[in-house]
Amino acid sequence: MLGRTLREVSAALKQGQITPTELCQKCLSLIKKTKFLNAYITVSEEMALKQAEESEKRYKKGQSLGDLDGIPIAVKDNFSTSGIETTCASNMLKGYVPPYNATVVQKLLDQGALLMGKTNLDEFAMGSGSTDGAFGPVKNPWSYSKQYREKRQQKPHDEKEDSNWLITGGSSGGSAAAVSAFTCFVALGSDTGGSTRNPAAHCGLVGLKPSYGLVSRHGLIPLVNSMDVPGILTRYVEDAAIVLGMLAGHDPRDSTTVQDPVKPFTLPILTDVSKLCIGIPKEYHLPELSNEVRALWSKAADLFESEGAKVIEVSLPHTSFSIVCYHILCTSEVASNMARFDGLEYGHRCDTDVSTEAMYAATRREGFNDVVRGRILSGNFFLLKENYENYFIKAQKVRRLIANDFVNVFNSGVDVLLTPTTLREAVPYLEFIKEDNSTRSAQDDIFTQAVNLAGLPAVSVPVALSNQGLPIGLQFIGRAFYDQQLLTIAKWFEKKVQFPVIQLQEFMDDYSSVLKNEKLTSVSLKQ
Amino acid sequence: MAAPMLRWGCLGRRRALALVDGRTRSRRGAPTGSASDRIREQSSVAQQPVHTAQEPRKGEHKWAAVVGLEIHAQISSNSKLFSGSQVRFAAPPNSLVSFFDASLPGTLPVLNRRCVEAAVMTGLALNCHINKKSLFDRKHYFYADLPAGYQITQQRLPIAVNGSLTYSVCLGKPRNQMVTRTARVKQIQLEQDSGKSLHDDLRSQTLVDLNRAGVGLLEVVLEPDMSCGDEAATAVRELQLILQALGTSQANMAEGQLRVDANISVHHPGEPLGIRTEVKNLNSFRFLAKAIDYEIERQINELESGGEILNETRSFDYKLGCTVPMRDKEGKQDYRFMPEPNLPPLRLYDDASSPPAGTASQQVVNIDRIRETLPELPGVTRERLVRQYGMLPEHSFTLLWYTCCGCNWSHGCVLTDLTVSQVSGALNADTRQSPCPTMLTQDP
Repeated sequence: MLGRTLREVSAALKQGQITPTELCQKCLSLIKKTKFLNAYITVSEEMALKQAEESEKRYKKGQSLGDLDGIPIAVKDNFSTSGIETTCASNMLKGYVPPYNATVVQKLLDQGALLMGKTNLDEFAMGSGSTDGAFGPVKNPWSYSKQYREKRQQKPHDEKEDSNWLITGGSSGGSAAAVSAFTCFVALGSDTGGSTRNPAAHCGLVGLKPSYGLVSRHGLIPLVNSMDVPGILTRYVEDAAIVLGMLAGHDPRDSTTVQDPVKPFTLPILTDVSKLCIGIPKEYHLPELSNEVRALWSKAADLFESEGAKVIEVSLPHTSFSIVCYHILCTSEVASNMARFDGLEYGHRCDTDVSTEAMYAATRREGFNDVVRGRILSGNFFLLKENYENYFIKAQKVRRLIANDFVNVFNSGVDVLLTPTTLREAVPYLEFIKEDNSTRSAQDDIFTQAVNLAGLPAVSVPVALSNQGLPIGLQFIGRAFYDQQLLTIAKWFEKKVQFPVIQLQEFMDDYSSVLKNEKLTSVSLKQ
Repeated sequence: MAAPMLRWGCLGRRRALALVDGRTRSRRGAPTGSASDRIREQSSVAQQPVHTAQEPRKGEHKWAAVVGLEIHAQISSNSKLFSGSQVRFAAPPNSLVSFFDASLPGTLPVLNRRCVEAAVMTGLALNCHINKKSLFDRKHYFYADLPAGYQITQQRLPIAVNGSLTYSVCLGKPRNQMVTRTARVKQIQLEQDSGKSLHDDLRSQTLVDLNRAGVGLLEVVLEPDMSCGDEAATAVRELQLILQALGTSQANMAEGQLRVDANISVHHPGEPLGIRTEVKNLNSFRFLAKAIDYEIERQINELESGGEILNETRSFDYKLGCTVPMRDKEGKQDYRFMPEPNLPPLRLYDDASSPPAGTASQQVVNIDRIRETLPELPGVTRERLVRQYGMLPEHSFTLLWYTCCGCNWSHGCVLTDLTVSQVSGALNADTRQSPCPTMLTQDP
């Protein structure tokens, strides 16, 4: 049951094949069993069970709220959740319990979803590995998969080999691990430079970054206000579309959401791609790209072509500037956004009471890790009067050029762009930490961050396993506010590639019952 | 450092100490004779009354003073500039604080329409050009009463620019000549007010009340077109009357709804402007003119004795009657201005420019519609009183100045024709009295 699509589970719930409480308990039990993954910072067991009870009542009356009623979900710990600790994986917010729900969280709760807990991340969403949080790193469930271990000729139950576990990617690694390990069906992440798409690719999931302005950021603790969006992690493209349909739309509390009414996100079944034009940006052919990813990318392009689509090479000439541009604008906004963490109104406050200034300094030194402090210092440097013109303004201009690159390409008749999501598959943690956070971020975000600079929608779809048995994903980038078209194409592609399900049953007893070939012939699905 | 600085800064005390210093200086090897001569000269000069720009100092080069003002007026609105919490004076501490005001992470600003209208009205009343597109910025500094660590203001492109404020000063010996002056309005910008901090030195703690944090302010920037405390105070008074007539601010100084910062410098006529100091938080008319005149005098004395003016921020010590440097503001602050990313550009429309199709009406502010609703401004009221009732111009000023706030003269609700004539007559008859508000020229 836990490996099914939202529609299938929803149908099963409606038909009484399983109850919300049973579903909830299965997921809670799995969370306990997979605690070593460190995917969750907070598990809201009591709340989830209570929500399950209410959902059950609704189903009994035949009054389910929709496809998400009674469905376990998880939320990245940088979304404000009322009454549930929200830490952003930082000492600064340990013990901080917000008094309000983020708009997207509220929307999901209003649909009857069961909140299993808050997931782990890089501190304040700064990082591409989910390794630099105050609660420790997140482990990629694929480290324990049959597919991976077979290739490494490891015995499945060999605990000693755990030292070489793989990263999930980041910064929404906890959310990715939570979905990948079947502890929930949907998880919210955030995406500022690729933080939803990157872990999705490494964990074999669908990672959707909606268009900027489509989904409310109210309650999402910001990293870069002009680039952040709530991200959606699921196992299937259809599921991501369902959730997007529930979340998209104007929020009066977020002045950057568009006012236009939002079209529903039911995805048509695409059968004919002959009218599509797929763009392959030539600047994304980087020497650092692993051979396997390169080969898969090529294969995907060939697939579209063989099915009748037009596949052309396009140019995004300012691609090489996107890293520095992103770095300047990101650190500047970070420096500004982090200014509120002074220990006065909420969060961590140090013990010093010599003076207010001393209190600020000690609180912020104790509360933030090196990554955050480094970015604050850089950002403040760029915002100094004497530097503002040369750095910040320049970066804004470059940002406009990068955004225009995409506009020009889409105006020339291209429907979507097809690119890799990451340079290679997930690496072991011990290898990842050999380089520092900013080096890794600069490397790993290369395919994803330009999309945030331009505010476009993008989705990472899992394609195939590498020679090591690890997932590789590819990215589709769409025109602004053409999220539905983007997902329609992604869904077609997903069906074609038939990405395999993660096999964890030999490692965990529980999984065998989860992934037995359950026959759902009795479940009727409405299309 | 504060205590010794205080003594040196104060004009009165300085006179006494200057003599001591003269002797000290000569002992330290400063040119003898000349130093003490200068000191004696200073003390004799110091006996003279505070002068205005019209009266050059004896035996010295002429000095001209320029005064610019930054006036913060709290917008009269039900809720704050970017959040829905109420605006109310003297409420229990921290009882009017929304999540956004407390800077809880994840909260976002939402612009209050009434505040925008208030800014447009004020801009129109001050003959400003209203920018159809204006932008919001973050101004960063750390202070206990600024929860977010930055203030949202309009630094790059404010809502209104290039206006004028006309006021009249009383000149001459019996001070009955009304002379019109104009101060250029550089700009009007919307910005957030900060909270209040109360320093409890006894317990070494600061108490922070965020009720005021986020209340909408109109900052009106006047170019350095004024030349003395009197002119500045009169200009502020006129602005206060205008704001009250418009209803955009109650502008009650006692309740902190109108606060003035003055930028003051002195120079020799014909030479470039001198280094300016900023005197902050002048919160009563009584001390506004006094503080400015003191600062002008202090700068002149400083320069004449070979010193230099630091580009610093000072505050006015009411008890001692002098300006003192503000300890917290040593050195120039870099506010690291950055565009506010959570607020798109503010777009206003008029009859000639319509909003995009499908824009909700609550999102549209039409400048021409607002212009139509402007009430009668004080200047027009005074002219009407003079025209209709034959009142002396200076009496029309007195009448408007001394009436209570918010009194709507255009409806003549307070006085009937008969009463106005009686008042006029009474004022006309009593020519020995100065018709100008004496509160501006009161002795300290």
